[in-house]
Amino acid sequence: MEYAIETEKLTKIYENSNVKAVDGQDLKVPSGRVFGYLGPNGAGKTTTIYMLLGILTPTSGTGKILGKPLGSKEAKERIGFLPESATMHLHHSGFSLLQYYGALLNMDREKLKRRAEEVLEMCGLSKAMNQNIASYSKGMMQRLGIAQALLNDPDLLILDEPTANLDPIGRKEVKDLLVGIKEHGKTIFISSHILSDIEQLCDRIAILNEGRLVKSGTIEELIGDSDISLEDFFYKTVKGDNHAGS
Amino acid sequence: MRAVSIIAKDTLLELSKRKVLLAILIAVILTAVIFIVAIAVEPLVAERMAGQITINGSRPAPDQIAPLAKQMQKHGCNLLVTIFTVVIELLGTLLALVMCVSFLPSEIERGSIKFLISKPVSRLEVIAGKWTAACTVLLCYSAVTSILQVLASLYLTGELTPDDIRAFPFLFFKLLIRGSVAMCFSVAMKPILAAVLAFFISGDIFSFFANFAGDSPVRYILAAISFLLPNYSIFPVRSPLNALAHAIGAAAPDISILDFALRGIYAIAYSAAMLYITIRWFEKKDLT
Repeated sequence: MEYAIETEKLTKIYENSNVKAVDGQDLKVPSGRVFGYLGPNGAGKTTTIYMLLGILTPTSGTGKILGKPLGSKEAKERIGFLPESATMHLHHSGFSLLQYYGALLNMDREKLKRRAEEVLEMCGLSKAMNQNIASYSKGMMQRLGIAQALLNDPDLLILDEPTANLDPIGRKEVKDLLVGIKEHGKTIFISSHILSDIEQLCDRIAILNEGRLVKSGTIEELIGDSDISLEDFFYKTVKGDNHAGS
Repeated sequence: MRAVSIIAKDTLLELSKRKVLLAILIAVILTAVIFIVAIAVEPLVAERMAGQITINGSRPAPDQIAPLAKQMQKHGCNLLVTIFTVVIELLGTLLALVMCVSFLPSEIERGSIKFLISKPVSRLEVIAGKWTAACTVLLCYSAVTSILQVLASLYLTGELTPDDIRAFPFLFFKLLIRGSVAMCFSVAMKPILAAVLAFFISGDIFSFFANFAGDSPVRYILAAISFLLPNYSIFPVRSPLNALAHAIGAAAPDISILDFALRGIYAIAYSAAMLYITIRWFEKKDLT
């Protein structure tokens, strides 16, 4: 099986607080799948994502992303990323922001213009594309974040809480958008708290607790024939792991 | 290089929209207006003062007042140009500090650095882009204010001092070092602390004391410290000493071409060293 993301004993200890946020993680994300990355607050999901992209430097361990070293330029050219609750460059309009990010992605000017208009349309921001983003609502900002992540038609899409800040309609639209991307054979890596979204979208999931990967597999493999929901399974896994740990 | 120029261009756009440049521009214009008003009243002040002074215990004769007033006006104008350049230099320092301490912390604080780093852009390119933008702004500031200084000197005294001619490169070198030090500190500490330290840490005082240490080893130690710390005293934009020397017709300490080149090399090498440290620190930093 070909993997879009592979990590080996990936560890992150924050020097200032001496907290082990990620503890020897061996993560394997198959290509062409939608992969759900679950865990309670502070489990180390965002820290892992930041290490994959080079925003944080791992304390130890290695990994590959699309076959290239973590955080490498070659890999990042083929990745789209939506961080959780980060503010974009507020001096831009939606369209000019995409022009800026597209230029950094080495996109051809004409192609970039067309693609920017296309992704803004896909994310329902066509009407507001020339509006300064400082005036955007949280939901619009989230949709713009998704638009910039889709700009380079990435092979791997990494989304940290993509449906947070969205109303039910916005959530439905984003989910439909992701289903469309999935149909094109792209790999999507989603970190989310909203288990119903994960259940609807993901082929495989991994559950993270206190920096360690505690379960990984398809939803069917993990839950099996039992009647419990993903929410119950998640709760039991995390609570059980906490008791085993203590 | 492409990413560096794209980030530099965007940083300049952001600076213009954040109105930092506008605030400094307004301050320069206000200074120039105050200066023009001072120039306008200078002949009146000189004439009035010439009539009030006493020479050897007696007031000057009526036919002595006009040439005396002219002489006093020339000295007064020289002083005005010096005050103007000191204010301009302070404003430039403020611009360099405010701009350079905020570039990286603001990207990290609001989280926009995550969007940048997730693109095929290295940390080195982010720093180089910000630094290029800072250099561009400081270069423009130095050029515009130096032209004002040259015009003011020509208009008021009809001649240029050597300081006026060197004003542009020296002001730029000074601001370049100041900005590079500020940006370097901003990676490791809070912006306000970085600005304060970058303002006060200077080798000038050691350079000053080295002049009084004779030919002893202490002189060389002090001189070495003065150059290890950022030494701004070797870039006299228009020193009061030179202005005074010029006013009384004495020769100001001259700077040879070689000396000028060495000072330029010092400024570029010091800024490059600061940039290198900034990159090394920034590459190790967790950007969250």
